[in-house]
Amino acid sequence: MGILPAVPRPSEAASPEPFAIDATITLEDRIAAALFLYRDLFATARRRWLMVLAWIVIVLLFVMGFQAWEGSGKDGLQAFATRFFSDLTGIPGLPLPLILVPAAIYYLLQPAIVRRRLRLWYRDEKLDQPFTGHYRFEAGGLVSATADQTSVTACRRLGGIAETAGHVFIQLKDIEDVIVLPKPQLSPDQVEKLKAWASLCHVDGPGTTLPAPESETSGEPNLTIRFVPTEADRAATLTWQQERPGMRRRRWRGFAMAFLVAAAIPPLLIVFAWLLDPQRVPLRYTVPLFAEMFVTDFWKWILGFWAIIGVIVLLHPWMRRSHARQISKQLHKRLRYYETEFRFYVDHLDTLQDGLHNRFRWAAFDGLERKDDYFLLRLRLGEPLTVPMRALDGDRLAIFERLVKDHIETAGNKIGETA
Amino acid sequence: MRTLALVVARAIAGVLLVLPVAHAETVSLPYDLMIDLPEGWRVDGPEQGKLGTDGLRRVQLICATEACEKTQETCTVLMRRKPIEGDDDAAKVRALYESPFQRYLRLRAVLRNTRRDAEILKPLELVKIGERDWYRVETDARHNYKSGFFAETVVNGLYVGTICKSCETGAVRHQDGLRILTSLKLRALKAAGAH
Repeated sequence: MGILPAVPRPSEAASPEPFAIDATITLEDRIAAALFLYRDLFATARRRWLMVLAWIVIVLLFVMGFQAWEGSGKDGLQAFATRFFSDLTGIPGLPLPLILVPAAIYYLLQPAIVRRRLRLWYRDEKLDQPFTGHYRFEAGGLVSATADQTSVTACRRLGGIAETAGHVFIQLKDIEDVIVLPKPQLSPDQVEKLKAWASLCHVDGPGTTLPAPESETSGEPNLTIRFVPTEADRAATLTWQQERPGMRRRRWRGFAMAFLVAAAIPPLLIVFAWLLDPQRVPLRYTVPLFAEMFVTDFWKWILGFWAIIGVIVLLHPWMRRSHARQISKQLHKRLRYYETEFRFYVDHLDTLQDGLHNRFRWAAFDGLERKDDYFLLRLRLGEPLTVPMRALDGDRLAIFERLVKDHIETAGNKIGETA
Repeated sequence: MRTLALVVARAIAGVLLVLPVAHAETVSLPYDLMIDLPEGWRVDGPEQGKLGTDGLRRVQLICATEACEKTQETCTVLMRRKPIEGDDDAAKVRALYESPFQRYLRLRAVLRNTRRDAEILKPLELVKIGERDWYRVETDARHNYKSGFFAETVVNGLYVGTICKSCETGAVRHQDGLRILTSLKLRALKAAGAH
């Protein structure tokens, strides 16, 4: 690896010996990393579901209480309580388990559903192939490298390690990423070394006083741009992701499914009500009437449901944008955005922040897209780099376009442009 | 053989309602309605009936003939004061069970009324009884329960229902009930359209 940095000079502090770990990162490891990185967002979504559910139950109980009060003749708490509890355990109380049981099942399955969505997303984005990562742990920081990308992270940009049953995560400070190491590939000795290193090299540890591992210098860049990423930039990237072909395909499949399910709801509701009715009319008398209901009523209900879904489909672009804004707001709260510098060279691109130096060889990219006021440099192994137009003032825009297009085209990559 | 002939004759009479009937008594019901009671029948309770919490006024009719000792026939006439929306009486009757949901609920109600394991003997359908259209359904009860004859119509915009019960298990049932239904009329023609 020609772009691996030189070994830093030894420090005065009793720092552990530098050591290296090579690991193969599979799709499942990346899913684990995403689940770990966004655990707060996933937990919030899960809690929100619980809140909505609680409100539905409260409203249902209130309605039932009102009906029980009316039904009990409004004379005294005793009669009301008797009526209410007999309602609760009887047929009038059925909506409660009918809503609660599926909702509880969804709540329990939510982690599995999230994992499945992530897996599909990685597959759609062709990010599901395993890659080998080289990690070098030094007193002053961490050097991580894949085939076409090297990152040097100073201790002040590291957030310590976290362990789960299957993985060790190296957390990054104010960077929306995490380094994942699969435990089965680590020897107990390596885990011990990692822990010792992490206790020194993190944002509040003594490692911050040491110089970061040095990056290989590379002369004068052809173009340098600087900008401070904002919440709006993050929202733009999210919006771009929402419009990826895979996401679109799944969305339309979801809508089609919603239309199908909506068509099945009215007859199912009636069958369900019939089954639950202790005084139900025998099947042989019911079937002709049920068939007639399709002609007289069900189609109207189905059209009604479809109209609602149609409105949702129409409003969905707006809902997506608002969702992207909301998520970027949440992300913005937990990250501090540093000034970022992009340096374009003949054979690579460097991105620099305080304590962070990424180097991407041009082969690391597989495309350039323009979306509204942003350029997105698509990476083979991860999420795209976002360059806002505001950083490309004056003649920088023309130089940028020429450079990037040349380099990504030389690597034989597609250039895409979306509205 | 004579018995069979009698049964057949009665069956034909029951269907066609052509046998001359000796009207023993004419009864005035609420809302300007009148019926003729066959011999041996009388009103049980007040002629103006009793108003239930469901808004229906019920007049109970019972039969005390020799035949009725076995069949235990009774009829209830149900009336509602609130007029039904619609054009004429025939259209209003038709509108009663236009929806399959209403028909389902009707079947459910009459089966419940005939107790457990009842069957539908004659389906819910529009039939002509006397001069009026009626929505009629008949149930067949299991052993030791009374089968039912349920019919509903609209007279001068007002709902009128009849429930007749009988222990009879043969093909011919509710003959007297049919006669009572046939005799249903408004007290005076000039009253028509008054509501």
